Amino acid sequence: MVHLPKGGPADVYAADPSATPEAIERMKEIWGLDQPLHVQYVRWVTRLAQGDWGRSYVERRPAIAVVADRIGPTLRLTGAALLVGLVAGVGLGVLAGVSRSSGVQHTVRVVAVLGMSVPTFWSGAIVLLVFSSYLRWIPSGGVATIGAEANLLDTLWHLAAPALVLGSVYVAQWMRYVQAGLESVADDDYVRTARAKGLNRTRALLRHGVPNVLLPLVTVLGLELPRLLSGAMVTEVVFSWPGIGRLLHGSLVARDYPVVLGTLIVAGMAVLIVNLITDLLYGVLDPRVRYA
Amino acid sequence: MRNARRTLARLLVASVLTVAPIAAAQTLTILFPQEPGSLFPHFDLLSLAHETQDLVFDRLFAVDEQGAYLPVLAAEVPTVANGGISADGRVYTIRLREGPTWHDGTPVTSTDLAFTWRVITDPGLPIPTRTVWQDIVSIDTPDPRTAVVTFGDTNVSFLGAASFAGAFLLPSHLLQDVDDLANAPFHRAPVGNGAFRLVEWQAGSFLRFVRNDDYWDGAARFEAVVIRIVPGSEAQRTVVSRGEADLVLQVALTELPFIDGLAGYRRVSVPTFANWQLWLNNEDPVLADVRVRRALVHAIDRETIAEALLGGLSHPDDAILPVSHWAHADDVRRYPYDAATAERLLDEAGWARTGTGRARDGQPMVVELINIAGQADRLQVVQAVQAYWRAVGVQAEIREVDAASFVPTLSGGDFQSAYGFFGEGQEPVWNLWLGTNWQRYGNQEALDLLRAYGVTVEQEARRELAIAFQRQVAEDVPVIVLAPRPLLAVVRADLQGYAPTTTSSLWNVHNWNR
Repeated sequence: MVHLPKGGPADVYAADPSATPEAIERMKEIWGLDQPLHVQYVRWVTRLAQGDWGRSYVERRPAIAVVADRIGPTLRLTGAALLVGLVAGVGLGVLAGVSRSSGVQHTVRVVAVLGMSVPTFWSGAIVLLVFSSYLRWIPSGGVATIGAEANLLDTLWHLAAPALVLGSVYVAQWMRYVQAGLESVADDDYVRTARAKGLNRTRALLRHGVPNVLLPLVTVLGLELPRLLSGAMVTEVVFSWPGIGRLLHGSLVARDYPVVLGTLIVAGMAVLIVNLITDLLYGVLDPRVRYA
Repeated sequence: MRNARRTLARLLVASVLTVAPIAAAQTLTILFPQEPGSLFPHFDLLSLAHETQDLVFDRLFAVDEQGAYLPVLAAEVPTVANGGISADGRVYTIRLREGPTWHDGTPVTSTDLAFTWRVITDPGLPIPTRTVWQDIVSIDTPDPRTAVVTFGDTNVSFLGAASFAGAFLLPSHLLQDVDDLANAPFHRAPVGNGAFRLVEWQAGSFLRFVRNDDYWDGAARFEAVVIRIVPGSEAQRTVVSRGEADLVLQVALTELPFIDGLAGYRRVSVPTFANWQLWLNNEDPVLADVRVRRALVHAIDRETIAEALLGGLSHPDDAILPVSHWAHADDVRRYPYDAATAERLLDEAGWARTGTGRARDGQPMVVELINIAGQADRLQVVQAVQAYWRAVGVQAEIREVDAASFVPTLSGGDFQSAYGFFGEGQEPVWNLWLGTNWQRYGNQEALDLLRAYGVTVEQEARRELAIAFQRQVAEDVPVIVLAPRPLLAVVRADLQGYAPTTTSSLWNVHNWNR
């Protein structure tokens, strides 16, 4: 599929006034791109099976090294965003779910709609403008201060804004999810039983409702990972964050096929691993789930 | 407990204070919208890669702001008069300067020039362009300071090729025994001979260079240079508005309103030899008629487009070499904005009005206009052209393709018209006409002028040939020149020494200060 759009890595060079068609053909020949697509694919799969992901046409080094350089920053960003989404989303969702105040519930709904409607490229730009350009509370981008010693606070300082922006989408979504879940279980038998034993509504929901609502959230978390990675692409560009998403975007533009495929392999592996963790978590969170 | 809290607080404060400022007084910070792929000269055609390599490497010659050659690693610029160029233009004798060394202390010698030529012309290496270098027959090195470059035929482009943006010498003593130059560590860890040394490259974030104190022209005034990779325009604005950058290269024209309101910075129009232009497929049934092509130029108000959409950085012209080029032709046929003339020419070509459009033999007149997707300023220009053409009855349909698809689309001939830019070098090689010829220009008499240009040693005679060719092209209109394409840079107001040329922005970076 990555070969479907017209053009290839050698054609990017053709923008140069002195690059002749013969030179472009020579580049394709050297890179093996003059071969039929199925031959290229078999060659790539064969090498992949031997642990060779190919070499980047742009960076002239192994694609696996190019991709590996970007995994750390992306893990840091998506992990922090996930944390923000979970802590704030679940917390506010529980608050809205157990509260009988219509003001709180309406506020939560408004925040949820805003959070899910505002695209991250816009919210990121606004955050940069207000908190970096005007107020100077956050840095102008990047993962750390250039030239400074590695420093936890500096790292967190750079991480905070992109993580909040990327996580804000999930705050809204999961907050709404938890709120709706708590409202739906409020009249279930086990909650009523708990109340009959003397717990008030809030305590009954917190102690018995929340665990039952959170269980399906684990599934949602696993399913959301691909969207989180794609959202990270936009956030990484806005905040000059050197992650996998930005790498994928740049590699697609340059038709750097080995790196494109490498990033897709990593993303695919991440989804598989998270789904495995999700399945395992079921067994931990719900004693009724057992694996043969 | 209270002591523990105090200690923790002190640690936190101390850790914040250890963070060094991004733009220290002696660090020059440059913003790039895109990361260079390789710093191994000749392997990467990206102009930002050449700019980066300019920190680490030197060329034989540079081109100054007036377009004149300057000797850099060479001791002098060879001419026929000083015996550096043979009368038949086949042999160039290059005398190297005493003093330049590689960063490991090894002197730069003529062997390095011969080795560089062998690398560029190695058919097994993915080097994208070998133009001019591939025509060299031999490079003899009678002594470490002298190289005799011999071409098979007259070659008038060697000085241009040797002063080209990425035409840096390579260290033969470090690379001659490397088996796989295409994938050598040198791509990410080069050893050069320039004013700065690369010390850190954090992929996707920044490249950091420190001063080469042994530089032959005196150590640079800045102690370090940081190139920050900032791809998004919002992020670039943020960095600049905080005063964290000294120079931003290749700024989008859509940023002009922001730049003009920015305190402490000025905008600089960086000259190039490129034009914004519309390629017309001269073999297309609709566009094969020169009257149609002339009508399409007359129909466009290029002055308004240049002023309103191209930042007012340049004025439209009808010659294919911009006014800043030494071989520019002043007296070519002109095509002022004149919708009435455009309508008359289209009528004469048989395309009769049918309400808002035109048709000939029952076929409506439709011209597809290809544009590279994703850049707002380009789309604005294309939409303006579409509107001007519609006003004279030509239905223009915009087709957007991504950057990598643009060239195959044009070279394959699967287009009617396309918007983009193209530029020749200091010494034109005319590849657009004698090589790629995307526009399918078939006037052989005109092309013979270029063939004669390539074997004419005397520069004034070459200029006459180039001018004659530009006159004929202006008659035939195989392409529509919209306006020259200078690049836009943003520079800190107190940065001194920045003097961009048509080949490089950083060629004299060692002389900059703040």
